Amino acid sequence: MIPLSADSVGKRYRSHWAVRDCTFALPEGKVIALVGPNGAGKSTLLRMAAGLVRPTAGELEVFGTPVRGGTHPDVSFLAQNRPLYSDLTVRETVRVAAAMNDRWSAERVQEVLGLQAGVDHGAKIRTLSAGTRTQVAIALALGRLPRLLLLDEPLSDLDPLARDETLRIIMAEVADRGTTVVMSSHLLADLREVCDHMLLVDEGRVQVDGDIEEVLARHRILVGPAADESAVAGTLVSATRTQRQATLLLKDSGPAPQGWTDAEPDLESLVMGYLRASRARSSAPRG
Amino acid sequence: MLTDVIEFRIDRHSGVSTYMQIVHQVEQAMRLGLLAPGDRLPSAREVVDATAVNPNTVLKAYRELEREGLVEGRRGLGTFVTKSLASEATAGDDAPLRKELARWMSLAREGGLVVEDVDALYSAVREEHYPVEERS
Amino acid sequence: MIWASFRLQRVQLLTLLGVLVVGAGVLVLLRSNMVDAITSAQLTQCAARGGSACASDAQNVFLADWSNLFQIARILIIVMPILIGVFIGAPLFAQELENGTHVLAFTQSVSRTRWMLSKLVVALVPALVVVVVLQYLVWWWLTAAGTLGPRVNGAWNPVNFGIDHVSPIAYTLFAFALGAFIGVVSRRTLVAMTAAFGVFVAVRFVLVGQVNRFVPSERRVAVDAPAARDGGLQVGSGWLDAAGLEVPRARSLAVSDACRTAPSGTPPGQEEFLACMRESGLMNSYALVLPESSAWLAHLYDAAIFGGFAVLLLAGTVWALRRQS
Repeated sequence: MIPLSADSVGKRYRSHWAVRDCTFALPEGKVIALVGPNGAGKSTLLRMAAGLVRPTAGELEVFGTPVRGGTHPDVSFLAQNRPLYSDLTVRETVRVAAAMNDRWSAERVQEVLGLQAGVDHGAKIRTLSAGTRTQVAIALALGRLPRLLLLDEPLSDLDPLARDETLRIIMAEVADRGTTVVMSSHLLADLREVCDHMLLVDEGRVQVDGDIEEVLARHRILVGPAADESAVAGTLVSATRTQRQATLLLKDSGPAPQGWTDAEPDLESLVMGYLRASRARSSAPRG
Repeated sequence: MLTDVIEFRIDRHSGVSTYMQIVHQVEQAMRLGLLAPGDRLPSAREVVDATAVNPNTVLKAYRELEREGLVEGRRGLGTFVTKSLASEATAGDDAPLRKELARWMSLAREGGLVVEDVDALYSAVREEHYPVEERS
Repeated sequence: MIWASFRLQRVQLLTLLGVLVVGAGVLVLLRSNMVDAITSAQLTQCAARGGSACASDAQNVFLADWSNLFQIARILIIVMPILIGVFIGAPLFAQELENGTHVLAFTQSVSRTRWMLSKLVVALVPALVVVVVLQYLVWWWLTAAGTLGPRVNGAWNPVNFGIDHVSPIAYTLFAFALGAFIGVVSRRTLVAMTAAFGVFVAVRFVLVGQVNRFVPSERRVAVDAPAARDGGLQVGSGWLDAAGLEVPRARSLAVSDACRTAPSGTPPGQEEFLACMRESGLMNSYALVLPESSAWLAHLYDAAIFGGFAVLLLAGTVWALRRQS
């Protein structure tokens, strides 16, 4: 069953479309990277999937059920600002969250909180570091025993140790329960190592959607004489050119013509290529 | 414990994908005789606990090894090594070729070669005997 | 969920509990001290019947001691609704929206409506209980003062009216709902507190006494109802002709003007004036009075108006929260 799909979803804030015409279907059991620069529409997309924001156009479905005005019981959402009551202790926070849920695993929460050394259950939320706050918020999210975990910038503001611990918690969840995870980040480096699938969003639109290995395998970077670009076959994604030399990012290209060098792109250059292209498209009509 | 047989070391900055690193490390351990038929590979969860990699990547690497006929997944039990890549020549500290290389290495050391010299010599001779185009 | 709401309202609930315990204790103590004072000053008869039964020296001493305390107690009951609106109603949702913690609640399995209702009930019911208890105790105390206390001014006195019957509950409901609503719309605690205060004071001020017009008045003819105070509220006056019908105001004014300026040039005495009026057919003067016994009706209208506002505002709160993202 498809954990999350979108059909021509759009969200407009006044005259600005934060998300526009997004259509995708995410594979089950995968770790999906939702990448894009700041303001690309990642948070809006996740908040719509969590039932917090109503789309202006189109519809999202979670496990086949349309999302309408509430969070699907099989979905857990980690908001970017980690909403927790700062006056409560960790223990009270867990109790409050338990009280707000029908299906709840206190053991799961304790297990996750036990993963990192020294979360003091008697400590007030406001005294916790950013990393511990995130881990408490993730523990609450996992206590709902979700089948789809939506994480908005789960690794932002974390020091390397907290980042590693947080990833470990999320990956253990995937290993134990086969949970589908969608993680957003504006930093590709955060996600490159841990994700199977990518959804690249920019200017409110989906730019790339697919298994990371497959996406990489379908693209080539060709470097060759600028005068000779017509010889290259395939769909041009983006290009950088000097007077003599052109560097082309191509999708489904044919064999490299004589005089061109050919390499598989790494994820970083692939993403950069698509972002450059989407920027060029969006700025072109405005002149 | 069986799981102590092998532990993966994932280098995030090597440029080699995590999945390939796992495949290579299993193959290498098998060649060196560290993994023998019947040994169980660490479960995805165990690898996650040790390295925080994506468990799907681990499973994908195991599927690749399975496709190569080196291991076999048994439902509910884990993934087990089914084949031996170790040979007389490579496995164990007393394999003849290994002993010979060890003897050569100690000669090099006695001759005053530093480690870079040894690596350079080794690579050069390897290139002569195993040209790049012949390697798979 | 109820436990969660209790925990999140802990500061406010403990404050309310403190106000209740201290307030009730103080009021009970004040009443018993006052009763002792009345007895020892031999003012018991004065308190019960007033007027001629009062020795003015003892009465003045008593009033010097107690009237400020009476005022403070009455003001306390008058301002309690707005305090509850500002400090409990306004932050209830505004604080969640301001800190983003509503997202935590909105992404759990509890429905938004249930979450809202649970918060509303936990915040509102204890506040109402405190208002009712303190209002009752103040009333009980002031009643014991009899004619020596402010209740002598009657149920229609605006301050007495504001602390009596169901009115304080209705004001509390309104203030609370107003605070909650502005809190959801503004999403800012401080803005909500300030705006709730301003709007409540304005509405309360504008509506003071407005409900009285819906209460039927009694016509009392001056002859059979002399000026004795019986706690009624006079809302009009005029003259009756021989047939007992009300004389139009313009005519009665013209006649009374004519009668006041007697041809002799000296102002007429009361008897002469009345005789002059009777000659022109204006037989008796009358007053329109809201009897004290009808005050309950005004309280019900008052409660209906403020309660109605409260219901609308709460509905608006629920509606706005359901649309919240």
